[in-house]
Amino acid sequence: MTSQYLNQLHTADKLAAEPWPEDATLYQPYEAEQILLPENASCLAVKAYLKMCNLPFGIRSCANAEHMSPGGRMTKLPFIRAGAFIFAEFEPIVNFVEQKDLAIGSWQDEDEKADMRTYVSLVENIFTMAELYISFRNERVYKEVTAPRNGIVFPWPLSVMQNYSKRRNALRLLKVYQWDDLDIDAVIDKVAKCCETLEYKLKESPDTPYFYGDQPCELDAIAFGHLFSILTTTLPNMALAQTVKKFKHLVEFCRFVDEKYFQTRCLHD
Amino acid sequence: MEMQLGAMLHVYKGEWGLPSIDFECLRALCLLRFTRCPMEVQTSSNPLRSGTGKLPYLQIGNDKFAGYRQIKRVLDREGYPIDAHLSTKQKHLSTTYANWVFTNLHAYYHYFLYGEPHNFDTTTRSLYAKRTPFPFNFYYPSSYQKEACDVVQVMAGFDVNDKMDKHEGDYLVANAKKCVNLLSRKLGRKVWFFGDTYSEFDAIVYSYLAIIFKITLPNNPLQNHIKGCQNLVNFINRITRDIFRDEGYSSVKLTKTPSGTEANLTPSERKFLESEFNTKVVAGVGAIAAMAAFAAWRGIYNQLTTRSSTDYDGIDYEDDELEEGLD
Repeated sequence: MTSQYLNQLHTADKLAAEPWPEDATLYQPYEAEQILLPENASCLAVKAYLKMCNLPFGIRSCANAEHMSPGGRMTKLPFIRAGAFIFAEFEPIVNFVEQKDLAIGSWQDEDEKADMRTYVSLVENIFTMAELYISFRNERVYKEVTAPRNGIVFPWPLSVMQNYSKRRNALRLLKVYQWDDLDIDAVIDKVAKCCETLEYKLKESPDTPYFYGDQPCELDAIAFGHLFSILTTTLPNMALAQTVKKFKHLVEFCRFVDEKYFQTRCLHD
Repeated sequence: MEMQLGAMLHVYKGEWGLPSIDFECLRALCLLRFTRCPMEVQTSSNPLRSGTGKLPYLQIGNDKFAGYRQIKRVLDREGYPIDAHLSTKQKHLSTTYANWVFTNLHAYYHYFLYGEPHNFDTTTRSLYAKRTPFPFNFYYPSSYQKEACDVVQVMAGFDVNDKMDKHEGDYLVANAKKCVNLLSRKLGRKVWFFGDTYSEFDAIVYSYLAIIFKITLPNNPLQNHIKGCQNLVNFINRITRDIFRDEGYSSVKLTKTPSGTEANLTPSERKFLESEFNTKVVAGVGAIAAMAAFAAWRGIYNQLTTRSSTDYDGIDYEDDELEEGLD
């Protein structure tokens, strides 16, 4: 697994001149049968971001997308191959696009950009951890949804081993981010507080549908990715979806971004 | 707002003028002292007495609350909330920034304090071992190293147990430096990060930066970087001097100027070595006594004394008669 940092160091020199390749591909697990909630959210966030930047990309669904990924801090997915470079997860992909000066959000000044980055980090951490918690820590959801979906691409004994190792990894992730000793109420509380922060931010610019100004930025992409996934994924335990639904502005925001950039999909209430 | 009597916070003792050497303990202490909560602080604590086996823990009567999150909940409930004077927007910003600082500095802190083998073996292990009661001080500090292994594996993607050249610490250092730059910019000339009033964010920043800044590790790239940000240095020193005036502890006497290797042997370390000397003497005497007892059991003394009485020519005769006598 190559170091993300070294990757970025090397690319910074070579990137500026090269244009965005025509055949850039996004790799993700199978959407209908395999993908899990946190991975779906991450993939959707990256897709939204690339659409907002108006960059063309193809989508390739493979069963072993997770194992091909160069690695990352959380779900390791999706990963994008653009020419000779491979990057995984939302933040490194965004950094990659920004180095090419193709990114949205270039109209923001340094302070605002730094602020926005902290919001992006908050959204990514809290929502990914909550999604991992509900997918792997909650027994019912794990048995009925996560385990069958994750194991469907492997033959029987291998699926059990893969599930076991994936669950152990997820629990270790929760432990490192200090979420493993929380109960479901504390998790809902954290998600509610995060949604409150987002709604407050959204209300700060009431005339525009986006978080910052009248152009979209990274925060819009990642907030959409996670909120939309939570709202549209049916799990045996709908605690997260119910929490998010209480924030009308955020639901409205999701509907708006969905209609604008993903006209073929629709939001069911 | 009644604080029950007998409430006591157990933390690790400090060093270099800081009230504690451990990040979680320092955070908890900040919660206490920023809000001026009238609680006592106990520094010679046994970490295994807390429910979870880690410091800090708070003891009120018979209830124990271990870990920063639970301590914060107790303080909020008892009327000493740390975010009491912040506006709603500032509360949101405090959580957001705190999370972002965690993402960038947590991995650095854990790797350079516990993960890097050279650092851990020379400095950190002895720091923790001195503050843990016997006999736990032999194995307990390693639990921090195990925890750091997980943190580094998840957040930086490499294994601490690999060889040194596989350790990708540059990524952590670069992120940490960017974080410190931004913090310096955010603080500017203000007293606290949110202007006139303290917040949880100040507690977290102080806890990470004070330890990274003051600790004397062989390999600590961020230390010089923080030194370059004068406002952060002032921030750390001000809080240490004003708020932790009573709890700050330094084993090196401030009047003594450090002179080469002598500085490494602080008075408390010398005392430790001496006590070890006593243990060595006792251990030596014990070993000799054990060997003597074993020898006596095997009958070597009888053999020696009988031999000397029969051995008058310097020639070893066959001791047939003697053996029959003994049997």
